[in-house]
Amino acid sequence: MFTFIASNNPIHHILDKPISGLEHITFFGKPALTVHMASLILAAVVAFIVLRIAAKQIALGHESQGTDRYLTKGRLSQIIEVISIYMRDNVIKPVLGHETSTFLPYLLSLFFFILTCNVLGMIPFADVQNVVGNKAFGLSDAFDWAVFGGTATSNLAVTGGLAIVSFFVIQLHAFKSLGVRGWAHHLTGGAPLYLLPIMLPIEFMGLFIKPAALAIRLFANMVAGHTMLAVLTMFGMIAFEATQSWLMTGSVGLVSTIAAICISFLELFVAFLQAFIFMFLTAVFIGQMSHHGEHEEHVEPTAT
Amino acid sequence: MLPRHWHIESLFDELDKPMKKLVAFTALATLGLMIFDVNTVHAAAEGAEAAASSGGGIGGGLAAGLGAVGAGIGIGRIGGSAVESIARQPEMAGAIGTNMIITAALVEGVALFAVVVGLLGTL
Repeated sequence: MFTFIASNNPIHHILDKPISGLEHITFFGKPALTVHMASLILAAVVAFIVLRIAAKQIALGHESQGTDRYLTKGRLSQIIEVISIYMRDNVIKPVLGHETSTFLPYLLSLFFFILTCNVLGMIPFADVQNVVGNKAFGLSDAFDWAVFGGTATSNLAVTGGLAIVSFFVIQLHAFKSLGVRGWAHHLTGGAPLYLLPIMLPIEFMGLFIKPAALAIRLFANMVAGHTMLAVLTMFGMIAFEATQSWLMTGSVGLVSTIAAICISFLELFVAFLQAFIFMFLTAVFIGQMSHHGEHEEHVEPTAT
Repeated sequence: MLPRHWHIESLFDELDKPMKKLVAFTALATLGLMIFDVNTVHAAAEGAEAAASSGGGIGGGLAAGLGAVGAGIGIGRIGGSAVESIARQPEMAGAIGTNMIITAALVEGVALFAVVVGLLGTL
């Protein structure tokens, strides 16, 4: 009865599990096709479709439309256009300067993809499939039947993959714009010679630790939010098992439901914010690798 | 958002001469001691925790709790100075608020690193 809400372990809903029915396909002993993978593919397809529709509606129309060709039709496209313009002018341009257009496709794709993954995780696909699948296939309540669902970015492998891609973008840009000698000089950070034994290892480790911090920040935010939601919904079950009285369970459940609703709003905010932070920090790291020769022209962010 | 001049060289150059020698000596001594100490600490720790991880629960709780304390202090300071600067200059409320949210998310990220370490300790 309580497995739809939470199991007795709050992390159980968040950990990755193999796709039900395909557990036998393994890759070196571990399951090969998991629920988070299916959710990742779903998020990619959804993000691609939505952004493609938006791009077609934002793009310059045919000449026969006259001045209407500059308009963007459709509310979704207008939202995406407003968000993209805000990101480009107020967030990325002050950081990257004249290299904005080189990295804008990657950074905006990163933002919208992480946003789609995070928000899709807020929809309880996996829980609905647990209930429906268990009933349909006559399975015991302990087994959770699920094909897709769960937050893709609550998997360290997914966020690690995004961070690895960002790492390669940052390093390739550093090598292209600074050259190997300039990159090594950047590692010293302008320190005098006798500080180099400390500066070089720390800066070199920092090259790897900064993208790793990006990955862990996104992963921990998603896991922490969903764990808190699971714990809040567990309170009703704990009250029932402790008192066996429906009055206590009902009242505890009411309070915990209200708290879970408020935490869900917070989770939606965190979903947007963490996608934005990932993109913004990637932009900052890219900009750090190329700001030589521009010490005097510091662009102030526009205050709108 | 990031400080313009953040070279160790410029901070170091502003010290006076005996202070520079002290800082350089301390830095090199710390590095040397770290390389020397790692082996002895590792052997002692392996001897002590021979059984299955007995302090996992306490360690995990302590990590997450201290991380929450740090996040509380940090975000409290960010919020306080943001509100103060909005009170000084109400027309900059938009930009200040945006920067506050970004900085709070970064500090919260650090607290969540501590939570991840706590999870690793308990599981």
